Amino acid sequence: MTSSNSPKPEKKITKNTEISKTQKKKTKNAETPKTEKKKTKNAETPKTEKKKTKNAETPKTEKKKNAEIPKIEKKKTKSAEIPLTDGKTKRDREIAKEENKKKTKKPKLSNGTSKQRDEGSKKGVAEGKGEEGKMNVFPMNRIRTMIKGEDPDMRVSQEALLAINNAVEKFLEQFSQEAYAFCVRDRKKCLSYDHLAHVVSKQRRYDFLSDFVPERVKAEDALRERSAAGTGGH
Amino acid sequence: MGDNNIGKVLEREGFKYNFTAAASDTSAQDEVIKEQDRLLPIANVGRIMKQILPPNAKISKEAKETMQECVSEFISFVTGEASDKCHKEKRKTVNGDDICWALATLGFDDYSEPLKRYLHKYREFEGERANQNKGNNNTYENNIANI
Repeated sequence: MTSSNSPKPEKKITKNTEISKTQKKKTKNAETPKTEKKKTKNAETPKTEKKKTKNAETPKTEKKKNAEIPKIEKKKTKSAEIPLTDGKTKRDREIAKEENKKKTKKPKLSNGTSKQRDEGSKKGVAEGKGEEGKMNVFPMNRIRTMIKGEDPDMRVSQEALLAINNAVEKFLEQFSQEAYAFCVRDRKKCLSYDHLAHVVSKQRRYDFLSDFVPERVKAEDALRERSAAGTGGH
Repeated sequence: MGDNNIGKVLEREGFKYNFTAAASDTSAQDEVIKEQDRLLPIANVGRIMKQILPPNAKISKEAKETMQECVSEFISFVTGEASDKCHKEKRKTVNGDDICWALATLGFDDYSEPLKRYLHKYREFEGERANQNKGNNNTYENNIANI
């Protein structure tokens, strides 16, 4: 308990005072915006600092692109350690997708959406860093919020959030690989809903998803089953 | 209370918004925030899927959105189990070991072992940092308590 809590503030020190060094050290990205906002309270300073990191990142990502290719080709291995880097085009696409969604969700809050878009893009870029990306794939605050939604009274330690972040990444990788295997079997180019649904129906460990991702059935078959069950209006 | 909670969430998102809006607007904002926080960002989900699959693989938008739901449900599934365990043991804080235990219990035991190694390295890392900054511990522990 106390031992795990004590080291947290030291990271905040380094992040605020030595931005260039944090890139080298294995620090958590999710915490950076918290500390900056709390201390400075100015909306401008954290943005400028984040922008600097963007410039420094570009050469690293270019190098890592080459390293990515052989690792990705190894389908069999569970590669949880693949460096999380993106090509520029990929970033643009993903950012655009985020922006489109946010537009539809919040038409009223024009100012808010613009700021959130910036944050979304920055988070994406920040998470692209090789070492730091391994630590936090998903935003920690988001995971914490989701968990709080489940049980507001329960407290969650920082290492539990890290554990969940890591577990979710493994889950996502494994699920994607298994779905892709069905995609290949069907000789399709695009991974689609049906492949995910098939994984859920075939493997027992994914039973908890069966209510969320049912296999698609033709309407006539569904109606037939319904009449057979006797729930129909016959 | 409700307004305060909304304010906190908005501050986390990084912008300040005027709270003099009407009640209907407030409830609308609340719903939007909850909807947004209910899922992990699709960009992160999509990126990991792309990295694990072959370069020529394509992923439909529907598959990404479905995966968002699956991932969120996975988090609820695991943390629910860990939370139940803590309640039984009359503890108020879920820690990393509880997550490992929950994964093993729920059929993801192949995740549990590498995760324990991961947490072990994390604790070693934390220990080193703590030693380097012994003098500052008291001040920042107070800050943590305030958070």
